[in-house]
This record gives sequence, C-alpha cells and structure tokens, in this order.
Amino acid sequence: MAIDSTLPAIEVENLSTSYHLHLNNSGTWAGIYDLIKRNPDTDRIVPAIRDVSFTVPRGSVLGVIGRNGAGKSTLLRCLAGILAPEQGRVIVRGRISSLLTIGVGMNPALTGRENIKLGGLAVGLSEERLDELTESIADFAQLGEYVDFPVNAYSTGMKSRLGFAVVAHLDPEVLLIDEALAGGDSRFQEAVGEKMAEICGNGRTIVLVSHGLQAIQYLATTAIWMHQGKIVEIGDPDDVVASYMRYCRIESLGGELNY
Amino acid sequence: MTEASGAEANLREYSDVEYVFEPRDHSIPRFRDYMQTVWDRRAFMVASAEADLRGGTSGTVLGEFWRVLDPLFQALIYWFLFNAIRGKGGNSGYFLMVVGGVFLFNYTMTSLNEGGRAIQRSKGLVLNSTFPLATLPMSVVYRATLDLGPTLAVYAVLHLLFGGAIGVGLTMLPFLLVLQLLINVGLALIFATLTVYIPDMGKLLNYILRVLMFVTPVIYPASQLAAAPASLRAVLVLNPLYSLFVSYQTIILGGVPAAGQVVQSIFWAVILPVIGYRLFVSRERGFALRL
Repeated sequence: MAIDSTLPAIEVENLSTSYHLHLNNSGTWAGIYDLIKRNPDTDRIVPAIRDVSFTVPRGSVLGVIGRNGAGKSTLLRCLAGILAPEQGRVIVRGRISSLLTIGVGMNPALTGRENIKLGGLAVGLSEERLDELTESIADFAQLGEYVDFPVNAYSTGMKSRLGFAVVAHLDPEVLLIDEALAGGDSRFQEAVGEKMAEICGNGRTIVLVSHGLQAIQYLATTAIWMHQGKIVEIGDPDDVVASYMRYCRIESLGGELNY
Repeated sequence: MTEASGAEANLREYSDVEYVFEPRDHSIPRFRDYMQTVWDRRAFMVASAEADLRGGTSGTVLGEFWRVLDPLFQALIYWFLFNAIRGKGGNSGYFLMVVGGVFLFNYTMTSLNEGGRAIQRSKGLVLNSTFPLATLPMSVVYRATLDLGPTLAVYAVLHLLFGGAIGVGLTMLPFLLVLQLLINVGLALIFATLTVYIPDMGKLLNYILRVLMFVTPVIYPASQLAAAPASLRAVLVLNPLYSLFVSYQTIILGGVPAAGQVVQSIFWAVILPVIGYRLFVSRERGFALRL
C-alpha cells in the first residue's frame, strides 16, 4: 500500500516461546523451585512457537491459518505482549488492540455496558471517551436493549459481536483478532468486513487468525500458514490457502507433512 | 480492499508508540514508572471494584443494604454467643473488642483471600489485554476498603450502644488503618504471585487465613498471650498483624497503643508492600504463560 516508505508495523525476529505446564504432583515443587531458583527446568515445557520471523507493513492485513495447536493464538499473544518471548524479539509500532478469545475477559455477571467500560478502561481509555463510544459500540454489535442485560444472558453470537465491536472502536493502530468472525451471522460478518476495510483504509494494521479460509482470502493482503509452531508458507493469501487445503486433503488420506 | 488513493487520503499519523517485546528477565521496573502506569489505570481499578461490589449483591432483594447487614448479623451472632456463654451482664468491653477485631480482621482476610486469587479470577482479561497486572490485586484491596466503611459505621454505633470506652487513642485509628491498608496491599501482591506459581496456594490460603486469625489477637485479648511461653511469643511477633491488632484492642478498651507496637506495625507496613511489589512485578510478565 501507500506506506512502504515507513517502518513496518510489526517485526518478528526469530521468535520462540513455550508454555510451562504444571503436571501431576511435580507442579508444586516445580513452582517452589522456580520461585527460589530463577530459572526453571523442572516444569513440563511445551514449545508453541519455534524460530518464527516475519514483518507486517503498515496498513496491511495478515491472515494466519493452520490447524489447531499450530501456534496461531500463541503468536497473537506474543504480538500483543501478553506472552513474553523466550528467544527473539517482537517490535510493534502503534497502539495495540486485541480480541484474542471470544468474550474477551468479559465478566458474565455484568451487563454489556459495564463490560464495555471495564474492557475499555483496562486498555487505558478515558471514561469520557468511553461514554461517547458506548452507544456506537452497542449499535455496531446490534445489541439493542440487551446492552443493559448481563452478558451471561447473551448468545455466543452476541458475545462475539460485542467483543469485536469493543476492540474495533478503541481506535487501534494494530488490531489483533483471533477467530472474531466465529459465531456472528452473515449480516454481522459483512459489517466486520466493512469495519476491517475501514481500519485498513486508515493505514491501520490487522493480524487475523481464522479457520474461515474464505475470510482470509477476502480480507488478507498476506497470509501465513503455521504448523507445529513454524511457518510453512508465507505469501499471497490465495496461494497459501491453496497449499494449506492441499495439505489438509493429503493429511485426511493419511499423509504426513515433512517439517 | 480500499483504493490506494482513499487509503492515502485517510492515512492518519501513527502515534509514536513502539513496543519491543523481548525475553523476560526478572528485572524490576523503576517504582515510579510502574506506579505511574498503575495510576493511569485508576479508573479501571475503581470501576472493577464497583462492579465487584454490585456483583456481590446483585440479584438480592436488599442489594446495597447487605453491606451494612453483613457486619450487623456477624455482630449479632457474637452477641448471642457471649450471652449464651457468659450469661447476662457479660463484659461489653470484651464483646466490643471481639466484634471490632473480627471486623478489622475481615479487611485483611478479604484482601489476602481475594487478592490472592485476583489473577486467576481475571484470567480472561490477563490473557487478552496488556496492562499493569498489579491493578488486579490492588483493585481487590480497594474494594475491601470500600467495604470497611459501612462496617466501621456499624461498629461505631455498637460501640456507643454498648457504652464502649472513648479515649485519645481513637485519634490514632486512621493512622493504624492506613498501616493495615499498606499491609493488605503487600499481602495481596505476594499471594497473587504465589497463587499463580503454586497452584495449591488456592487451597492453602484457607488454612493460612485460619492460622493467621488464631495467631492474631482477634477473638481473645492480647493480654492472654502474656502468660504464653517466651518462645511462643517470639514466634507470634513475626505475625505482621500481631502488633497492629494489639494496638486496635488497646484503642477499643480506651487506652493508647504502645509506641513499640506502633513501630512494629510501621515496619510491616513498609516491608510487606516492598516485598510484594518486587515479587509481583519481577514475575508479572510470566503470569500469562501459567494461566
């Protein structure tokens, strides 16, 4: 797009990270050990991302595809700064807004309105700004009078609509979305597409994780296919989706991917 | 997508925010810088505490009134107990001492118990947004402080009703409450960290709190400990709440807290927040990996 002269919005250099799991009774001792010794090696460590590098230019949409457990969501958490890298480095230029799981830390006992407020305040918006935004967020999420109902009365679709509406309205410069399209009906998916196009049109950057391959083809300017924590292919969304689908067909016939 | 020309026209200046995420070390950010980020999220802490307060009584008919009714019923139970055990004409000073002690102990109990679980409880938020996580246990302590208001009001009425002593010591109460607030913040930060690293802490907390209540002069007068062996007393002094609650009892009985007790309380009110802060912020970035 028009902004290739500036630095990329996201730079990922040799990123690796892993999850530490407490298993069986080793958990307690590993936990104590880790607290005393500052470098744990007694935990069960599950590598989630292995030596991944890429850049995302400003104003582009990066689609990330891959099977369950490929490291897609972990990658987004690293980009959001929620998980610290174990090796390598992530640089993000711009204010981050992220929608990483449906129901984004929503408190189900609180109303939609209260959740909008808490979510917005947590990422540092002022109360005045939130008061202005609340109505347009509720409108966009098509909540109607439900905005004053507790979230545990919401359908899955309503929750995911509200989740997307909140992060999309926080005026993000870098928007990270994990499966935001799931659960919404086709009318809402259209609205999501328009909103994302609008955000990109403003030079904002989006990283989108989705199992909806059509959505990736439609929205993304570049796509990444991840498998077992590594990048298998990066490039034009149509090409990457095609390779991924070829792999899925081979695998369903019992083949193996050699990586 | 959008036409390139439209994109150019709409292209607003990016903010100069730049995040560099690197492998975490256990370095501790400058206290002032970190507290600034916490202060910037004060509206979040207030809103989250208020939501908690509403959540606690939502769906009840009496709603907000429970904030007064809860301590009132608690006091009532102790009143019945005392009359049953001691018969009529029970010592009202002793009754007030126990009720006051229990109310004030509840303040630390809530901070420690819920503060200790604060990270797990807000798992969704922790896994989805980047913000100073110390706001979570601190918001719990703030909520406990909001609860203290009506509780102290109920106590004040009881104190007058039962003809409790009123001495100059009372003027020290606000200062002691500030010390307790600081101790609570320290404990909440320490236990919030421990609970993330040691999954069993959630269960252990119940026992820690029970032991804490018995090694603190809450439902018995501190003077009873004078008869205890010196070795036991030496251990009790290691309890951060010990000298604070001895001081509270002295005030309730109309006396002035001893300087030594106050100095010990000040020591804990300084050392616990420092330990809590250092432990919490040095570990904070690893929390999400363990939730």
